[in-house]
Amino acid sequence: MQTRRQFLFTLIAGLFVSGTEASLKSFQPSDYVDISNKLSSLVTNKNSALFIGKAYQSLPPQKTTDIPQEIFSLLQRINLTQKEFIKLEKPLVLQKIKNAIEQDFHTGNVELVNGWLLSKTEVKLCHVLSLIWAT
Amino acid sequence: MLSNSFSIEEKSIVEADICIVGAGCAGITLATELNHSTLKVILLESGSLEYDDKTQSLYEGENISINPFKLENTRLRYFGGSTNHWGGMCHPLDETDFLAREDIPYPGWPIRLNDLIPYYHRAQSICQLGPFVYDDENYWRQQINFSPLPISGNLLETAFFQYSPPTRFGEVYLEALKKSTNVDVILNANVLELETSNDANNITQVRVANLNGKIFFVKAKKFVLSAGGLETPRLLLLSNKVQKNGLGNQYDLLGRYYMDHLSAWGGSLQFITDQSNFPWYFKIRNIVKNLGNMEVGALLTPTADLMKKEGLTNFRILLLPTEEERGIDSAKLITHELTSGHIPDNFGGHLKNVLSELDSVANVAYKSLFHTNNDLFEIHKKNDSTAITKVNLDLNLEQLPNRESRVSLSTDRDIFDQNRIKLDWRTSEADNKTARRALEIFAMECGKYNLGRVYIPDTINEQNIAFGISSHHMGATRMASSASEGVVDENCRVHGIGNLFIASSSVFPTAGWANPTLTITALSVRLADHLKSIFS
Ligand SMILES: Cc1cc2nc3c(=O)[nH]c(=O)nc-3n(C[C@H](O)[C@H](O)[C@H](O)COP(=O)(O)OP(=O)(O)OC[C@H]3O[C@@H](n4cnc5c(N)ncnc54)[C@H](O)[C@@H]3O)c2cc1C
Repeated sequence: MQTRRQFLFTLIAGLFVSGTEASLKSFQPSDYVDISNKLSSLVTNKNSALFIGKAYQSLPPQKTTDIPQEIFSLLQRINLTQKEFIKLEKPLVLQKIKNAIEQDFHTGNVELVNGWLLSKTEVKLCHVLSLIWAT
Repeated sequence: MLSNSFSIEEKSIVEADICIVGAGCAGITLATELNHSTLKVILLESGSLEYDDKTQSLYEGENISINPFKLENTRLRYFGGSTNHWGGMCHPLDETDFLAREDIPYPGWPIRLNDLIPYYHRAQSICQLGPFVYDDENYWRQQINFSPLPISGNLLETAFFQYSPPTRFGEVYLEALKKSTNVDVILNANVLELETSNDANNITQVRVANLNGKIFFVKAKKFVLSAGGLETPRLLLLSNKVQKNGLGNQYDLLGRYYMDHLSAWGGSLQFITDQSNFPWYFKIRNIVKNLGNMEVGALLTPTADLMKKEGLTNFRILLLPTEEERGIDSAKLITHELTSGHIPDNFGGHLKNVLSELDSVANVAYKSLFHTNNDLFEIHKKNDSTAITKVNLDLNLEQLPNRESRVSLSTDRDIFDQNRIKLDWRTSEADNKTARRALEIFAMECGKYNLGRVYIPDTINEQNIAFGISSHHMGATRMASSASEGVVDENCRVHGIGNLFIASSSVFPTAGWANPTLTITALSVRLADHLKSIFS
């Protein structure tokens, strides 16, 4: 059976072959794993993130399941490159996320997920995590 | 003086300067204010000093509204009226409530908040409240060490309400009226009709009956209808011998624009930051020791700017603490009772508990989403186990005046062979819009200031929200300076009739968010002064 790390490598390699967006090309598989691990470490409760992530996934219109693309757009939301995200200490990353979330509420970038009015950044975070964990 | 219609002779005529119909807070306030004057006043009350089924059944009616509540369950027909079961929550109307609003296609009140302020002051003590101070945060900061929720204040602001004990008007003011030498309270006296001069410009007398079938009449120089927000328009509609459409109905306005405060469960707020710095919002009843242990509560209302900018009506959001267990307990109880063939007591209440806790899985999930060893989204639980992590949102809205929402006469008849009420209470799309925006704005504010996340129930996003009632019967004899826009004028006199006045929430042309009784009382004090000035 493939380990999770192996699976992710395969997935990313596949994406590069099929030619994803140019911006994602700088996305190194090793970075990807580090990013995934770091993202996972931000939350305490896997079930919770899965709950919101899956609920979002099931809402119309159809959502992408392209993990790198979702990670990329999450990082864009919090204004960090992959390298910065990996290097930055966890409290600072959390502060970035917190700022992005508050900004979302100020600018109306919100999403109704199963009745909860959430910031698009937090929804994206949960979505990414639910996709990562599903692998 | 206190007397009973049973001791009045059949077909006799009783005379007075002022005849008041109905002894609820409005009628009792008027009578009390006119006590010790030189005027002879008669206060006619349908019921006696105690509740009885037969009299109460006169309040039954036909309800063809989407919400088919029983009319007799929302009011009480005996001395003291509905103050025999009111909750005592009081707040004056806001300044904006009196003004014409661009998005409300009807004129505002023909009076302003300032015109009512002196009467609100007097109404405060009649309703056994504290000083006339409501939304002054600094004042409450001193009294109860208040500090506001950390939200901007540009969209939502804190309002404070006071609790009346609640004053049971029938008990508190009975002795004074019993001892009165100029006010005669006649119990078991059901007014059936207002009789007019041939030109219908004046009321000549009212026809009164008791449940034994005895009829008598009261002649007076002035008449005041204070029979409640539903019965007052009914009496005007029933008085149709000369004016075929009823009195004060030249422009087909009588009975129209009926409003209630629209109530809805607005979902819940899951805190993600420490809420212990502002407990006043969740306690509902905060005791103010310096002010004789009076009770106040805090809630959120829209700013005047927000209402104007977005074309919203007024609303209030009350934060009610909830425990997850309450829903589970209720579910267990319902299952147990139903399986043993019983309908549980307070079935509706238990069902509400269950429904409001259905989101608890989502709620718990959200609560523990993030690490608690950093301050992002951490719930700072207090050491004591009663720390609140979640509150229910109790939403109550001002209803937009709606011409099609109306009180009319049914073909069903009561034991006096009088047409009962037909209520067709209708809300509109504007009400749905206000409900949705109110919760969205609140949810966004909670997000912006990292207070928590809000769950908005599907019921709020349905095409037609099934609003609950508040039993605040308003609007069916609305106040306006011209007869083409309202039933009564700024002095609460029925347009076109020289000697007929109304003291009731039925005169409210718009409802604001505030519960109505303080305003009914203030308007009644004002009317009493006006009547005194007419006679002097
Ligand atoms: C459960 C409940 C809780 C409430 N809580 C609050 C609250 O917290 N705060 C608040 O501000 N308001 C509250 N209200 C509303 C409040 O009770 C009413 O606004 C207020 O009591 C109305 O007073 P009124 O004098 O206008 O009418 P009523 O109290 O209805 O009095 C009318 C009187 O007229 C008599 N009458 C009727 N028809 C006739 C007739 N034909 N002839 C002679 N007499 C007649 C009746 O018997 C009655 O005594 C509540 C209402 C309910 C039902």
